[in-house]
Amino acid sequence: MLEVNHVKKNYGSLTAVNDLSFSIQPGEIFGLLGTNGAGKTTTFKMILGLLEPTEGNIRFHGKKISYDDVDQIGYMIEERSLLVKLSVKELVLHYGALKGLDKDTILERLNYWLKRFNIESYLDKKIKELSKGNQQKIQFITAIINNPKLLVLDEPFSGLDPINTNKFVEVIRDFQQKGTMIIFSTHQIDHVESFCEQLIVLEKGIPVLQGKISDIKKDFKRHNIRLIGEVEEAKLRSIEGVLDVIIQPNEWIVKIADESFSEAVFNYVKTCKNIRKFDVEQATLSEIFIEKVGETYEQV
Amino acid sequence: MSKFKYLLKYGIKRRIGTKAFYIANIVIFIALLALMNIPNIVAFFDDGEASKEIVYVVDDTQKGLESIEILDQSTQALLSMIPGANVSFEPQATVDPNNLSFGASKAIIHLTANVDILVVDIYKNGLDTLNETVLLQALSVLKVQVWAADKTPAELELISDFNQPLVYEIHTQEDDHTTRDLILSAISVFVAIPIFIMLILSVQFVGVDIIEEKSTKAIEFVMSTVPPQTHFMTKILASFIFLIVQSGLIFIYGIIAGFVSTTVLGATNGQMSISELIGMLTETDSNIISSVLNALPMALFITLIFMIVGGLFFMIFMATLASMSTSMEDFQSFQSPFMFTMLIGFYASIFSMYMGDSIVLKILGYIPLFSPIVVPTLYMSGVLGVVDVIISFVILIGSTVGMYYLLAPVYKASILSYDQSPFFQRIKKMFKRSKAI
Repeated sequence: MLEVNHVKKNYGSLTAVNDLSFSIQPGEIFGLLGTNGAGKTTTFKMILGLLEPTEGNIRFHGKKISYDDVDQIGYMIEERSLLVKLSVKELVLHYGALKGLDKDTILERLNYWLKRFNIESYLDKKIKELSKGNQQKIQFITAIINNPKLLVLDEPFSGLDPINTNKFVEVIRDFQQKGTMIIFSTHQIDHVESFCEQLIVLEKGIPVLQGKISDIKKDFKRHNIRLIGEVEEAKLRSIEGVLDVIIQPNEWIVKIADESFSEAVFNYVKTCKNIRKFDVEQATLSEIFIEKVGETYEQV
Repeated sequence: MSKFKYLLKYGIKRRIGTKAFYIANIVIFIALLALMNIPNIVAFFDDGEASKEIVYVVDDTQKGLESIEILDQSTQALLSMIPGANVSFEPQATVDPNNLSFGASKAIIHLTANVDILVVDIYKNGLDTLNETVLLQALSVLKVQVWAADKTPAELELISDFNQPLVYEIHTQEDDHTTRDLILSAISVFVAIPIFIMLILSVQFVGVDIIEEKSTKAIEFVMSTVPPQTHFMTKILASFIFLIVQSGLIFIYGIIAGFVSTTVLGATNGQMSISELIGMLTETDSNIISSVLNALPMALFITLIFMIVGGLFFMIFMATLASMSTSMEDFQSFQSPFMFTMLIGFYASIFSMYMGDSIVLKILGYIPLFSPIVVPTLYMSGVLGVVDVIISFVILIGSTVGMYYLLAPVYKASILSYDQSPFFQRIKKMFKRSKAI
């Protein structure tokens, strides 16, 4: 289990992370969200032992993370951290050896992953000759080559097309099945929504939202009503509890303060013509994120 | 294999065993071979028509020998064996050591006899070393003739062999000590250049290695697997080993080239000593060269230890500078003041033979930033004595150890920092951060 207990990190007078606490169980996927400079990468670096917390502590299987544990951890940093003059084989051999693996094991696993990502012909290609997406794949392979017990992924999907994103997701799910603890950050909230059990939203180092995604969504009162039909915007806006009305090419989205206001909206809509859809749904994680981060901005 | 060993091996492999390494070493070997075989190359193209040098002979042996004829005959036999030599002898009635009159000659030899032992005084006036060698060989023949002059056939039969060495004294027109120091100074300049190049190369390797990892962010991966101290040590040690291996290889190339020059190609047919060979090349008295060669082992030893410890000192410094840099451009501007300091040391070495016993040079010899380059040349040119060298070396070792303990925490604090603040501000910041760590 990974435990982060009341961690704080100061850079001089700047507090990058403030009173952050969470835990991840084996086989759990944890999402870390936040705008740029929110403190996600600092958190990852503290988990990896690259930075020492100013306050609080981080424990991996009950003890402080040290260089004895690094062989059980996989790390993929946000920016590409590849030695571009090396070939794929040379680079993965180098990084694998730094993870304490022997040459044969590295080559065996490398061949497997190259095949799985459909890039087996790139084995002897220089990293600098690869496309950004393929470089991202190699970087991902270097993070998982040691079959880690804890996988730390900082923006793993950036620069990837949807097909390759799905491949990454499949692999991440495989590791989850094997009991790997996975923590990752992303700007693409739909990824968090699709396969994270828990998340934390950081804003300027402060956790503004935290917990199980289902609970977060449940606790968030606002709802959306999606409807298709001949309705009048002004009349919709005049209904009590309606916060906003968005007109999309095919449908209307009516944002309401609470699920209980859906009845009033429904009462108006049923008087309109050609109503083909009326669907009340929870607010998206993206909306919750914007709402919460916006609140923090206002507080600051 | 531990990660320390792995990283060290990886660092060494990146420097040694690459195509660039092989090509550079082939070029160095060929250059050394060519340099040390200049006499053979000269001899190969020599048409044998070297200009003749005249030696005046004053024969006071009172043995009634035709000394000029004996010397001429002996010389003729030797001239065919030593390309480039050409000497002839002319008789002179007297010689005044206090008022030498060389005339057209390059040397005057005064022959006397102590009972049956030939005693020779050689007064040189720029006699070619090759011709000097021929002269000494010819005098050895004359020596036997002088010894045998008063002997009966019966006496000669009783003593079948005569092994007494030639008794001779060479009087040169130059001040030996000054010449010796001048030659050592000149050698020191040639020594300063490879030291400077090797040091620049090795410290550059450390810096470039680190900055390559840092600028590509690969350092983040590496540092998540090994502690900063391990990374710091392996980077320095890998370049340090490269420095030693490359220096050792150059030394071996020198020996091979020397062996090829004197034994395999052997323009001198093995009859010439190294001092005579160098003397021939530099047109200097072989005795002075011999004195230079006697001083050289100590000088080279000092050069070697200063290069090794100095290299370590500079590498620690350069690794820390690289850890504070964020890109290659940043690193280049960061290292400029450091390179400038090394250049000062280099120029001080070059000009040490002209500046003589300068107090500024002596002070530079005690400062670790300059001493690795300056001390070997200052020792060779006679500005620093052995005691000075020992003091300077102790200071250098102390500074190297101190520098390691001072800068290792700074390296740890700065290796993952991408701070872009100005030069001095960044250094200050990193020192402050290292104390916090």
